[in-house]
Amino acid sequence: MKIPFKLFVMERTLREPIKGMLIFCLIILFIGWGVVAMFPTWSESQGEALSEVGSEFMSVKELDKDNGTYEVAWMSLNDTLPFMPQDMLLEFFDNYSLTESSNSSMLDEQEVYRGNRTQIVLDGRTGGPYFYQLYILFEDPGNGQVMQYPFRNVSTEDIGKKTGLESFENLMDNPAYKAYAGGADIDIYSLKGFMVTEFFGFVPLMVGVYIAYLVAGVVSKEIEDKTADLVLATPLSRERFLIEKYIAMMMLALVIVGTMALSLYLGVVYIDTNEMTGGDILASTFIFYPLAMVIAGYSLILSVLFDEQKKAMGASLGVFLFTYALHLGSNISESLEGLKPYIPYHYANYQETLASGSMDAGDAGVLIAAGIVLFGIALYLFRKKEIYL
Amino acid sequence: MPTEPVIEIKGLTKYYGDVVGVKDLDLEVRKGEVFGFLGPNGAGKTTTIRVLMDFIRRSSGDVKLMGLDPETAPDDVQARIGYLPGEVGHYGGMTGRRFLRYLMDLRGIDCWERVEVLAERLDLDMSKRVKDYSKGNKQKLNLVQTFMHEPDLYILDEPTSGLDPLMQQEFYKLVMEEKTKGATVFMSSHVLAEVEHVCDRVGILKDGHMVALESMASLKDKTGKVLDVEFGPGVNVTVDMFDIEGVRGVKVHDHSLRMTVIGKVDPVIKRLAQYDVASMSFQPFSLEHLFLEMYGAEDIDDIKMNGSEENNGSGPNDSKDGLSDRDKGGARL
Repeated sequence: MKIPFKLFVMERTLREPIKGMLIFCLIILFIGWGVVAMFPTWSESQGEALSEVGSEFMSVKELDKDNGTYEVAWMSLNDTLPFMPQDMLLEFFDNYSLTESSNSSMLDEQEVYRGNRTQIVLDGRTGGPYFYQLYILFEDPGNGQVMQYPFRNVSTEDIGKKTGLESFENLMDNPAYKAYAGGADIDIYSLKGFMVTEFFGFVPLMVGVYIAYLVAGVVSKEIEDKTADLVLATPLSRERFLIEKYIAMMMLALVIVGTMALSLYLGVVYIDTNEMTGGDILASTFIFYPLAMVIAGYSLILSVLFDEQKKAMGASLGVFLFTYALHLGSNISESLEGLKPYIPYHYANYQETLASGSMDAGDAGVLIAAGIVLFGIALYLFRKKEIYL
Repeated sequence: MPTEPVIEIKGLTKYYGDVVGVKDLDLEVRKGEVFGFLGPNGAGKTTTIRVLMDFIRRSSGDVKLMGLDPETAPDDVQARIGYLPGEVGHYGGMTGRRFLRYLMDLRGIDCWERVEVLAERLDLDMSKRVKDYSKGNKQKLNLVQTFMHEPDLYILDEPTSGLDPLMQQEFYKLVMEEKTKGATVFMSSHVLAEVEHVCDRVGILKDGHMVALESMASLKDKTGKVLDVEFGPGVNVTVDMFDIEGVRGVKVHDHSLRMTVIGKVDPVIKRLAQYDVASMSFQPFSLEHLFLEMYGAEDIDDIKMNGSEENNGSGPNDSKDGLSDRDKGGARL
C-alpha cells in the first residue's frame, strides 16, 4: 500500500471555504485598519465631549487615608471651554485659585493653591470633611486688576461619586470595563486603550466564532454529505484524514490571525503613530493563535461526534460563547474567579500583552498543550467512530 | 475446483444498542465469484457491508477479507476494494474530473488511463461540475470511481437501484469483465431480478439472519415468472383453470388471475388461448415471490418484507418478455 505524500485532504479542506475566508479576512482588514484610523478623530472628540460635562469636571481622590493625603484635580479650562479662542484662554483663564474650608458655606476659606496646575496634592487632612472652591483668575482688561471668578467646587464627601473627569477614571474600576481591560493598566485615552475596547473587544470574538463554525463542519459535513464514505473507503487512514483536516484548519487560523496583525499594522502606518509598535501588534494578535488551537480542538471533537453539520456547528458555537461568557463573568464576579484557570480565553490576555508588548509564554504553552490534548481526543473518537450512511 | 476464499465471515453479529443489525452471519465468498447479497430493506445488508468496509465495528464474530481483518488492517484491505455505497455523496463544486482525480490521489496510485477509458465507455462528461450532473451522470461517475483502480474485490451496496436499463446493462458487462479478470464481486440488492443476470450465488438475508444460500442455477429451478391475466367479462374465473404442472400459487381477484410459472410456458399459453383474454403480463420473479415460494409464507406481511411497498415485486422494465407492465403487474398479493 502506497501512502500519498501530498496532503490531498488538507488541500481539499483548504479549498472549500476559500471564498468565505477571503471575505472574512477582508472584513477584518477593514475593521482593524478602520479602528486605528478612527483613533485620532475619536481622541479629539473625546476632549470635546469631556468639556461638555462642565460643572462636574472637578474631583477629589483619597491617596492615603492615615496621613490625610488627598489629590484635588480639575480639568483645564483650555479643554473645558474649547469654543474660546486658544490664545484668549491662555491669557485670561489658565490661572486658578483653590480655597479650602471645613464648612460647606466656605465662610472660613483659606487659599491652598494659586497657579496654573490642574492637580494638587494636599497632606494632613485628617478628620474632615473638607470643601474646596476653585476660582478662575484673570486680569480685568480695563483696569489690569486680578479678578477671581468662582468656578467649581468639590468636597471630600464627593469621593467615589462618578462625576466629570473622574467618571472615566472610575470606569477603570468598573467591573464591566475591567472585564474588557482584563486588569491591565491601560489608559483608555491611549491608542492601546482604544484598541482594547474597539478592536480586541469584538474582533477575536468574531474570529473565535468563525473558527468554531469552520472546524465544526470539517468532519460532520463529510459524514452528512456522505462524501466520507468514498474518502474513507480509500487506503487513506482515518487518522491521516483527521490530521490533514486539522492542519488545514490551523493554517486557516494562521491566515486569520495574520490578517488581524496586518490590519492593525496598516492602520498604524496610516495614522503614522508610534503609540503601538509592530511588536505590540504581533504579540497581541498572535496570542490568539494558541487560543484558536483550543477552539479548533473542541470544535473538531464536536464535528466528530455529530453526524449533522448544523448540530456540530450549533454545539461548537455554544461551547465557544459559553466559555466566552464565563470569561467575562469571571472578570466581573468574584464568585466565578475560581473558574479562570479553566477558561481558554483567560490565557489570551490581549490587554496585558498589548500593554507590555510581549507574549506570556506560559499562557501560550497552556493553550497549546490543551489544543494538542483536545486534538488527541478528537483523533481517538474518530478512530472509534461508527460511520452510518 | 474451489478457489481461495476472499470474504470469510464467521458468526458476525452487530447490535445497534439493543437492535440487531445482523446476527450470527456465516458466509464465504470465493475468488472469482459474483455473489448476490439479497434481502428486503432493513435486513442487515448494509450493516454487513459497512462492517466489511470498517465503517462500523462488529459486536462479535470474525471477518476476513483477502485474509485480513478489516478492523485491524483497514487501509490494506481498502486498497484492494472497489466500493460503491448505497448512497453516494459528491463534492458538488468539483468537476467530475477533479472528483475522480481526488479519489485516485487518495489511493496513492495512478490509474488515470483507466478512468478515461471508463468515462469514454460510459459516455461521461468529466468537465462539468458534479452538482450540474444529471442523476444518470452521477451514477456513471459512481461506477467509474468503483471500477477505476481494478481492485481484487468489489463491494457494491445496491449498485443497480435507480440505474436506467442501459446503464444497468453496462454495469453487468463491467461486472462480468472484472469476474473474468479474476475479481470477486459482492453486491447487495433487494430485488432478485437485478442480480440474477450476473450472480453465481445468492444469499438471502432476513431480519439479520441468513435464511438461504443458493447457487443461481438451483434458485432458477425454484423460481419462474409471474403471470397476470385479466379475462374478458364472459369468463368464469376459478383457481383450477390452470391446473397445469409447473404452475403454482394461483390466485383469483375478480376477473384476474395471478400465477407463478416455474416450468414450461407453452402449456400455459395454450390453455390461455381457450379463453377470452383482456390483457396479460409476464414479469420476472421478485424476491417477494421467492419468499412466498421458498418459505410457503401466506402473505407478504408474514415475512415482514419492509421494502415490499416501494419495490413491490416487479423488476425493472427490462424484462426480456417485453411484456412487463409495472402498474398492472404490481405484486400486491
